[in-house]
Amino acid sequence: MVDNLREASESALECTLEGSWALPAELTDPDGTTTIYQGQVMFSYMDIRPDTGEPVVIENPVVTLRLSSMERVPEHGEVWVVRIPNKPSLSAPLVTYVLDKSKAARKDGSLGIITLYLKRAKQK
Amino acid sequence: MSNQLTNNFILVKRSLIDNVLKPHEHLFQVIGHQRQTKSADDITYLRTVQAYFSGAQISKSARGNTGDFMHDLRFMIDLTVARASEIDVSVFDNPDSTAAQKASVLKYSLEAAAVADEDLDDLYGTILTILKSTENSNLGIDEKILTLSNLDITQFEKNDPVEEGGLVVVTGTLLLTCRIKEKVTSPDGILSDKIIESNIDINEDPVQQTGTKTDSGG
Repeated sequence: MVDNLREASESALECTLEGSWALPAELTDPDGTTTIYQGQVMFSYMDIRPDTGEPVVIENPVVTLRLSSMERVPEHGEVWVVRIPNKPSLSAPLVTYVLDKSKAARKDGSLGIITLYLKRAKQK
Repeated sequence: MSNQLTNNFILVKRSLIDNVLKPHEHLFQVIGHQRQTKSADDITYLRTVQAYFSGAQISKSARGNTGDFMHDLRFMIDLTVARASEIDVSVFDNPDSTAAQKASVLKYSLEAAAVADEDLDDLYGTILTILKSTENSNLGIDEKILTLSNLDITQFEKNDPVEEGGLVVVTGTLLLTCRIKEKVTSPDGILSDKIIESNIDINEDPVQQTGTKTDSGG
């Protein structure tokens, strides 16, 4: 029996977010600790160009993870590295991104998820 | 046959693009038209320079629509760079890297906006050096053909960094002004296309007496 629908939906994230549709996301925190999580990767998303107002598809991945699975949650301004497959395949090579410092990670306390906005990283 | 304008401003525009900027395409990509939306992927790690004729001021000619006049030209040179964050990616590719090594790399990572901003400054310096060099003092035009007076770089404005996908794009615009002489020529000995000839034939107007034909013949 379900006592609380919010708890039930958070519990369901194990299946909906971290289940068969998930892709691995390797996160390295500012202390250098690397942890692999299972989550959803959206490789592109719709946005509005601020200069023209037209809708455009942004070819930039967004990663959504389950907050309760995370050992440490990124705080705004911290430098994290996120490595994800370059296409929706478990065997695809990993590509390195950094957390976008201009966009705070969106924590959704209602559902218990966090959305991470990434920026491409180039070899220094 | 109609009058002809020398269109020297087009010569100046072409010279700015072809003689001054394009020889340096190993440093940046040259696009010779007005600003348009670009994909950040197209300008990834590539500096783009767009030079175009943006407007003019025409001084009054003493001889109306014909003869020489001074043409004050404005050219815009848009500089665009797109950059990603810079980090030692190899440390994260190596499974043997320690947490301390990774932490050290993260500490010294460079934000994309900072990298792009610095690169735009560098591109501005490069363009300025090219435009100010002696061989380009007349924008590469032979002075026997056309002399540019008051050639000047009057302004450089940087714009705020803009996110384009996973990159940061920074743009700046450089304003270049100069004065040239244009000529409107008409071929000698050829009549204008049309001469309007009409007879004055005012009908009789007994009220206002404006006509020339009256009963009395006066």
